[in-house]
Amino acid sequence: MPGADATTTLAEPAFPRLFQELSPFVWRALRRLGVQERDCEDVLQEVFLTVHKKLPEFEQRSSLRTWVYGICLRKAQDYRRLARVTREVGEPGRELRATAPNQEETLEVNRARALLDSILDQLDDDKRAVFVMFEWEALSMSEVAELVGVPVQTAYARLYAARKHVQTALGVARNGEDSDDS
Amino acid sequence: MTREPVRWLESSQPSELLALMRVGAEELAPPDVLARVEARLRAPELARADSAAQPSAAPPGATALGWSSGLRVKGVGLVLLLGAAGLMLYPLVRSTAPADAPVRSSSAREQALTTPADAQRTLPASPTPAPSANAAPPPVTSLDRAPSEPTPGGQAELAAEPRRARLRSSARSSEPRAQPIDARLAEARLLEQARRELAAQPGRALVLLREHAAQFPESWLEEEREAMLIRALAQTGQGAAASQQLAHFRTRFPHSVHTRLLDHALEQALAPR
Repeated sequence: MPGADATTTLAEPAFPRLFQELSPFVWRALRRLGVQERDCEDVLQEVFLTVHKKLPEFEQRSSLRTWVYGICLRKAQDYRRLARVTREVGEPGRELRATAPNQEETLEVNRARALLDSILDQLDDDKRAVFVMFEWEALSMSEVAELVGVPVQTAYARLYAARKHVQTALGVARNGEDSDDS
Repeated sequence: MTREPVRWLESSQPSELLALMRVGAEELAPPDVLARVEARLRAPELARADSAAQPSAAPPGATALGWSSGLRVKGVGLVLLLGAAGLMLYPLVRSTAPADAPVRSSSAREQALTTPADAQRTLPASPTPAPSANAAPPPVTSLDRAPSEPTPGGQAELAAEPRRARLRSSARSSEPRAQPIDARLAEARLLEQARRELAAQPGRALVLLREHAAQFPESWLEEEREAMLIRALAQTGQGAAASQQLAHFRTRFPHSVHTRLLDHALEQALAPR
């Protein structure tokens, strides 16, 4: 099919570079969107398989990065949905197993990361997506709104609700630690 | 119009909250994981390149095997693919690692990010290609210059050669750049700002794009920036400059996904009204 060949040839040489440029961001976004570290490799691969398949259809209506994040969001949501069924998301301490025993700094980072994951796990998918894409992936609010398919004002409301939750949950976690210490 | 809120990472927040956000921002993908994924994603391309060069010698089903799903490839196919993966792993690790990340997993950070499951999945081929008696040390500056000494995955090596030749011919002149994520984000933000202006205020977008070019002459987003520049020139009525820029773009990025769209955009912009 000559038409398909032409588009394939057009897109493919760009793909390896695209992977190199975006994969670190996609990895981080997937992790913050609730993909467990041990599964992130597989989900990352799925994201880029989809990117490769759909790249010829990319129409530059959004930036390439935002477009890839859209795929990323859907894959992460699928993952979480599936993981909820198998009751694997949010199990405490899962990420701590890789900790080297004598490295306090690493332990501290892993603790903070586990705390962050547990706080984010309490958010619903909609708020989480807005929070992650705005706060860490630096998309504008209009891009975030487009990405999640809601009016900008709704995206703002979700961002503020997510922020409030994170602040509250962090406070609760720290208070809990303090009372454990005393 | 609602004013964009300031991101927590860029604002004065309580230190605990800021620390938490930083932990989230700084979680980088382990280079070995990225290398493995890219190797798996590339494998079918190797098969396709091989198929194009030698139709009868193409491994049957290789393309479908690699692209049909995210499942891991198993069995004989895996052995073949891993040979090729090993060849690519070392330069890939170089190209995807942050500037301060060592190639070998020796830092505390990498140990923290590499799970036992990852370790089990590590490719049998060494990330650092084994030195060979008659081969020079592998160049590490480009994906396209993987070492060519014989390897256990000899057949994959043969399959990889046409692919490399194709990549060499289409390679960009720029070398892979390892940058901290924050620096990459700064580049992306400015470009996003320009993109937002493009529709309503292309003149303003032009200014931002030139600012981007001055600030980040070696940007990892250069291709996107140049594509946007052509659109901005066309939209500000600078048709001749846009055409000239597009010709340059074609040479610089011969396989860009943007080219076809830019042709169309320029045609529309230059069409008599």
